[in-house]
Amino acid sequence: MNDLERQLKEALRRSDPPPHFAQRVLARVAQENAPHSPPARLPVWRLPVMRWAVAAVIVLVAGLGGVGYRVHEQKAEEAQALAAKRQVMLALRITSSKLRVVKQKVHNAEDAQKSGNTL
Amino acid sequence: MKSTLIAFLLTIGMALTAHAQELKMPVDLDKLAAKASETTEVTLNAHMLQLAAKFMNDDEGDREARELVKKLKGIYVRSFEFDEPGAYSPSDVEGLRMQLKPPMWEKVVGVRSRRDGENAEVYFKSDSSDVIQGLVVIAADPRELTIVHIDGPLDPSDLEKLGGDFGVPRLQAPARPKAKPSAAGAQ
Repeated sequence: MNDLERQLKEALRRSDPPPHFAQRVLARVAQENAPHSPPARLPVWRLPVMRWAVAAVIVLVAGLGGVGYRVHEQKAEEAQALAAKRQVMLALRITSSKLRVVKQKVHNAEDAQKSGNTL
Repeated sequence: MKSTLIAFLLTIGMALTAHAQELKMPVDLDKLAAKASETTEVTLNAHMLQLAAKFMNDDEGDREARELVKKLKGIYVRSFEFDEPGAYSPSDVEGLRMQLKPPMWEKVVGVRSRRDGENAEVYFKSDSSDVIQGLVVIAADPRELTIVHIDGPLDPSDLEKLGGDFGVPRLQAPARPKAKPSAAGAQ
């Protein structure tokens, strides 16, 4: 027996399988033969399209809110300005009427003084 | 250090001067509102006047008012009407009169009628320029007290407008007050 024959005999020597080898093989076979379950479905709110939709709604609501707020501000400012205008006109009328009274009194006093001088 | 102290004192001085230039309506005037049968109160600062000016259109009355108010710093009116004569005392406006003193303020008209108890006073606020910087009118009769304070530059044409274009005839624009206050009417 030469060296090659001896190495072959050693390599092909009969040996027992490790413990539970048969069970593991059968279990693996059973697992591979089992029907494939469908992939788990993502919740609706986690779908990419929903994320885009939510972002678009947020942008839209924010935009509409901004426009609404601006319109409200403009209306409030307009109302304030009109009230101020009414007050201005009222104040100017009162001032005018009082200045007219003063003017009349001054004229009356001057007339009285003139007539006193004449007499 | 010294310059910092001087700057601080100057700042304080300027602040006090600015405060002193503001005309305060006496608190008593607000108490009069409780006694009055009719009260008119107008308080418009520069911001409100600018806002109002924006909404004045090109009608003749509005245009004149707009030109007048857009340069003013404030318009303040207190007007009280009473059911009974003697509901207020002259001391109620004394606090205001005390502020209307030379050199800043000049009394240009003072009319006093003992017969019917009517008094009218007009004061101008003046500075080194020829422009009147403010106007105060105090008009009092036994049943009515009106105080008008217009704060801001007024020229004679403004006074003419004030005297006429708001539903009443025009008032002749008086000459700029001299150093010594002159009562144009019977005092």
